[in-house]
Amino acid sequence: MTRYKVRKTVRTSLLWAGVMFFVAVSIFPLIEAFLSSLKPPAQLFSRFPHIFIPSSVTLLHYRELLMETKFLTYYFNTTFVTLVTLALVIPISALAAYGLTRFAFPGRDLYRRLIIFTYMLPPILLFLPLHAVLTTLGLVNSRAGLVFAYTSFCLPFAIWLLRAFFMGIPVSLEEAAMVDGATRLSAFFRIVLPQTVSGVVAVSVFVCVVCWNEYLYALVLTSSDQMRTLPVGLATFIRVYTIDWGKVMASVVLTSVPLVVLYVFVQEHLLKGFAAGAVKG
Amino acid sequence: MGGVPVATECPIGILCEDLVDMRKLSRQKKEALYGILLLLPSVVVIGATAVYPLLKGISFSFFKLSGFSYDGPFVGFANYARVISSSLFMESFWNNAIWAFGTLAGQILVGLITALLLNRAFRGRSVVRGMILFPYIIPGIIAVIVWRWMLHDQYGVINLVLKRWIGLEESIHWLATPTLAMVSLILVGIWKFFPFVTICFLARLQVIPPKLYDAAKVDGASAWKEFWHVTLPQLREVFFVVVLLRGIFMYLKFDIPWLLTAGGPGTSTYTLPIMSYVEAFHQMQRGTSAAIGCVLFATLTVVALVYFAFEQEE
Repeated sequence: MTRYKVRKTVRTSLLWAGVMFFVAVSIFPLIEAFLSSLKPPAQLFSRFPHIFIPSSVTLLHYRELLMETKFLTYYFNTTFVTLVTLALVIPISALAAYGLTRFAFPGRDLYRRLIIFTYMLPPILLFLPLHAVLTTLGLVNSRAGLVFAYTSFCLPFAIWLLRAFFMGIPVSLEEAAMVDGATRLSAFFRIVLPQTVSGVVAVSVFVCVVCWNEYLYALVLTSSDQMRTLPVGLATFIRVYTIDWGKVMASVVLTSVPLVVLYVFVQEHLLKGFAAGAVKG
Repeated sequence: MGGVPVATECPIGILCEDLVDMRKLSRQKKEALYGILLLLPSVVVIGATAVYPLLKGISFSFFKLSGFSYDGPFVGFANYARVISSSLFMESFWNNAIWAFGTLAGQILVGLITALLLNRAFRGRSVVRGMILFPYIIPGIIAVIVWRWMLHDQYGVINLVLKRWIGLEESIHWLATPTLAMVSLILVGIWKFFPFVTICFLARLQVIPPKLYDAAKVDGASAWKEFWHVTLPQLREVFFVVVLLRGIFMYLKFDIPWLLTAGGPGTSTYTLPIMSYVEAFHQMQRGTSAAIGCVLFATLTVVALVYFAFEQEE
């Protein structure tokens, strides 16, 4: 082999070693959780003869999780709050993003900055006053209250992302349609919206992920087990003196499944969202 | 802003210009009105769900609120004085700085390395990219649960591997030893958030013009020199944005520290967001909690202003 070839082989193997290392670091904890959720209790705690691989498989932990805890209630609450917030946020943010990118009016730049600023606000700055506002409205410990709180960060976030997508669509397309006699509104629905489908999908995915994962608002705004969301419900599983690790691992797997599925199908859209500036979290 | 071209089929020259101007003006007004109407729903909703609560939160910090009530006497800056003079605040402040700085530095390092790796062409790159992004999209609670399981004194894989394969005698109590608890917390924070930095750097790396590298090759630059003189300067802007935004988000992070160590053991991982939450919902001192919130808010405002100034320059 020539020197060049040797160097190239060394470089390629180093690249692959590096890639494999970081892939392992990223996904190993979840694989470990999955394998643990299938192990009978004895194997979970003695971990013999293998540390990782289960020598027999059981669905006991899943059965216990679904039968003995309120896991399905948490699941329903999280799904419900996520979807309602999404349905509320997408139309309002689409209108606002269109207004911000296509019309000139006084205060536009100021409003744009207000959006970025509210979008940067983390829950830790708003949990207390939101609790106060929702107490006044009688919405504490309700799903509607959670939707209210989630909208506070999802809406600015969605406007900001959609704005980036709208900016990428040439104005000349609409102008052409309007010269042909279309009104502004029909130009928006017939010309602009179809162009932004992938943008709307990307934003929806991000909104779903942040709502699904939210913890602090759900913690302070719900008080009964009946209203808890997955992150808060799961947190109670590890806040007890003797943690039932098998059951906890089963809950980790079931909570991650929708995210994995969503993720596999819309990875490209998600990356577009990142490119448009999705930095929440 | 574009629009429909104004028709100018007016027979008399001077009059025509005036007419065009008037139509232009009214068209501009109409445009402005249209724009404002489109924004109106979002203005109302953001006002009600974010701006109003924010102002309310600031006002809370000037009142003495104890127990479950949101009514209490005005006390001026007494809450701030109480907070800032407490030793827990100073300790939390330093822990917070260590946590934010440690996770930020780690994320940038790991993010840069992974972005450079993913910038190479190899088979299965998009699958690898997908897997590396995974920690970022799972909930904080899941990250905490799986890491608490792996760091477990008796059953955790980390201790087991160290004992069986490396010959460690005693289990390491990762989360029950003050220094190790902070180290573990920072490692989990890096693991959870590095993919975001990877994606930011990767997006920038992919648009570096290849001719810059060709020029470096012609000059006979080594791989290291190429990285130092071509790649790194191109990452400067994105680096700055990442430091600003990731830094402030890590600084204000509540869920991972609270769920992993809850500030313990003792107060060794106590941070300002944890303090703000505990004051409000455990100590029932909501005025004090609001004061801590305002201190954090001031930090965020400074960062946002720097970000706006930077954006203006771009």
